[in-house]
Amino acid sequence: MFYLSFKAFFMNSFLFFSQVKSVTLIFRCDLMELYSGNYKLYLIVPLILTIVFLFIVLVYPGVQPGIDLKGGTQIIIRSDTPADAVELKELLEQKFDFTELSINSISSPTTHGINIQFSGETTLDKAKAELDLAKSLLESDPVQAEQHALNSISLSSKFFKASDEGLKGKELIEKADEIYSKAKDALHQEIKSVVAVNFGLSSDFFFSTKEVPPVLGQTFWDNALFVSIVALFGIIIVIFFFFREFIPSVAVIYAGIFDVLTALALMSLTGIALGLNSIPALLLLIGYSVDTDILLTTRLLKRKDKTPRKRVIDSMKTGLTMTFTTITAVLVMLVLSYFYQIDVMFNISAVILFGLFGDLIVTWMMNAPILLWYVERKAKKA
Amino acid sequence: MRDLFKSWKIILLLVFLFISVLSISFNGLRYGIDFNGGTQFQIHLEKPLTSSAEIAQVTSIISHRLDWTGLKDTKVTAWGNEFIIAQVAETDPEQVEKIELLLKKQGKFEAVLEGKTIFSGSDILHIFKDTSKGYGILKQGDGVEWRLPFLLSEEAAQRFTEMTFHKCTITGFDEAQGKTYDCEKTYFFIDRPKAVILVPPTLYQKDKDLLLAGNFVENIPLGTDIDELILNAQTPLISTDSNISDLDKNKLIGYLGEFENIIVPVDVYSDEFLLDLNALGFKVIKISPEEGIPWIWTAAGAKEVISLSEDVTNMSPYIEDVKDAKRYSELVIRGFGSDEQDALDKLSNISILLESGSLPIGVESIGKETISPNLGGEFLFIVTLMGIIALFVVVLVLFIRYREPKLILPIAFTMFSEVVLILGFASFIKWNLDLASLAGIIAAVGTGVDDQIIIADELLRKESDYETSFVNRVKRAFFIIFAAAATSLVTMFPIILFGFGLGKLVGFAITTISGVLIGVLITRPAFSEIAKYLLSGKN
Repeated sequence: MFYLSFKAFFMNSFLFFSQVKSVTLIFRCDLMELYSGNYKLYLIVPLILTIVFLFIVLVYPGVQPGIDLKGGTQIIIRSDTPADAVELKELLEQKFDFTELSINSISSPTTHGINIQFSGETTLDKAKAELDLAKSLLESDPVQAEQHALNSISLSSKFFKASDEGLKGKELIEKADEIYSKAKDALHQEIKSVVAVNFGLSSDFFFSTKEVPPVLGQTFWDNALFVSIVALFGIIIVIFFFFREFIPSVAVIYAGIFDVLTALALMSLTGIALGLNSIPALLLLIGYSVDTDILLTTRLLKRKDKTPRKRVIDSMKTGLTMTFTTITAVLVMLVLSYFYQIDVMFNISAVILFGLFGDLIVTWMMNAPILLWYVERKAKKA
Repeated sequence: MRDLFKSWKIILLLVFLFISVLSISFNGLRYGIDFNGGTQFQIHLEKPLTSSAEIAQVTSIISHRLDWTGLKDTKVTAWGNEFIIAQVAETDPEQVEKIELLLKKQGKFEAVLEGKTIFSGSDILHIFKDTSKGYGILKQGDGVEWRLPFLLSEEAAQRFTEMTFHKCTITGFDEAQGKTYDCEKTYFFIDRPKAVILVPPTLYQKDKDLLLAGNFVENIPLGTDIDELILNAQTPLISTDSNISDLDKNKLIGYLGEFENIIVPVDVYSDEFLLDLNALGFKVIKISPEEGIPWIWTAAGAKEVISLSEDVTNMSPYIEDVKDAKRYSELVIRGFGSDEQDALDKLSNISILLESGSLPIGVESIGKETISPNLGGEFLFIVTLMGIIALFVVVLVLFIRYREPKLILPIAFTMFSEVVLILGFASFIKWNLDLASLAGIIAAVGTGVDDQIIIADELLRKESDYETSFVNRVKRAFFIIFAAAATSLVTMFPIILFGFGLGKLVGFAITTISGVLIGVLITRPAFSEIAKYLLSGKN
């Protein structure tokens, strides 16, 4: 009875599996027979995927760092009518000289949105560079510093007309800084009004803007990298502490890394950027997805009832229920945040979902075979 | 059933649920800019700050600078020793940009007497923050006196001596204290505007009364005279409505060479009038009035009124000729507070003022994020809906798997309790919930369900060859749960410990960590009790 309902549950969930071909293979056979044959062959799938994913993440198309981490500006505008991204891009490129401009229009049944991102605007970047030079030269060479500040002002005046008011020294540089900020603001306003005019938006349209200076992005990146490395070491220590056996521990840790790798690979393929939203999701993913690996490892290594193969099947029933409840919850988050274009939530849920797919593969096609082999070999020796 | 309520695990859960509900209803939930709309500035300092005192100083300077703009509901926090996060409710791009500049720029301090600047921020060489120079507070009768000693440059000290010479009058004589004096007042300004102030007659009259009445919080002393304020602000003031008289208009035109800005209150003058001012060649700056605070005081950038004392004016001891006047380069500002805390607050305000709100360390760069309030409000609704649907769907999946209401009910109850407990914790520590922290709650509850499935599967095992004791099975389940919780914690803790500046990461980490801990320590033990009780009845 129980087994039947379990099978029915799987049929219902077949949809999820169609995305991961290798997994569907498993469920076509009888569950009890899964690990009866030469289960070591399963290992090929995660091994090949590891190489493929590594290629996707590191070589092509590669993970895109978000503006949080590389610096830049993001403007998200909501509209009632769908926006033509290509047309808008042409329009903006005619007016301004952006570097790395990307425009995505997102349409869901409920709303339409335009996501404008660029890492800089050539003239303003030059103005900023002149300003930085002026600041650094203020002490050593005030004359040069003033010249650079004036250069900065004349560059900024492309967007915001202002005079240097005959100021000198430090005050001139402060003025240049002020004019630069105003020019930056004027640029954002102009972008918004170009969008508003072309798509007939009312004046109080929904928007959000985010601006990250490149230096700050670099700091975030260093910081996030450091945190991730500390977390990785933490996991290694915790896993070894709980299991105290080399091969099973390595298998669990590898599973966690594989999950992150899967998420990163699918992020590269779907164009989801690596940013401050996706990093905690990736970290959580490790902790989250090793749950099933820990379950499997504990049941295989610490229990003595039934045969190891039956214990694997037992764990699988529990583990798949766990993964599926999570997948459904995450799907709800993903779908709703897509419909209502809640960027942060969409990124977090997509990353977790990707990782869970990876976890299904690595737990049952790598971890399970390795542990079975490990336990059976131990039994033979004894 | 009665046995169940005797279990300490259940009681613990109920107690914490009760506390959480109390905390949520009293403290309320706080939402960040993601939901309320607003702007968040990430201020990255040039160099890391070296001590917690320095961190406190920088945050307090920044929050003072924001207060001076008249912004309410500002929140300034330090993340680690390199980042300051400032949050304001403002979303108007023009205002946001103004605030950004303010955060970058150093404020210009000026002390003015009779319409002339006697010293400015750059004249102050040092503020003595040690008690041997008199810095600190001292109990005096009913109140507490505070003292702030500082050092002026040679040049400024000379100017100060000349300008303040004999600026007191003797008002009486007292057996115990000797002569009593009434001395001139100096006005302290930050970023005194170089502009003409335009004010409608009604507001002028209102401000006049407000200034006379004084304002304790804004440091306006009782009996402050509006004319004296305007004189010291060194800005011309014209009291007029939108129909400006020719006389006033000519006056305005006369100011054109000297001033290029005009300050007006928000929403008072007609648009045509403001356009006329533009046409004359002025730039119009709008400043919004605050209830209970004289608008002119804010518009002029006035911060404090401090009386001179008889000694620095060379009245006591009395010096006949200004040439022989004692030159004071070390000055002390004194004042009274109603109690110790009040005196300390005033002392710190004044010292920030004298340091002209300048940061001890420069600002390297500022990142900012603005979310319009209408967008944020919608987000909150969707996320709540998301949580409810997710909860419902998970319960549905579990029902399909177990077909056992006895098990599903406690699972659903546990999930719900976890949400309440995490929110309770967030309201208790007054955490600002943002999108990432709510995602963290959903994630934490998601792990919670995993653990309950593990417990349920352990309890539902039917094999007779396996240990029958429920206690042992639950123990096994808890080994897995602890191991899983430990990995979650170990990935999230580094974010809290080292993730400085990574605002979003921290919110996510805080809710996940609290969720995992609440799960392991409170809800999961209670769930296993309930499940054991319900399922043992069946066996």
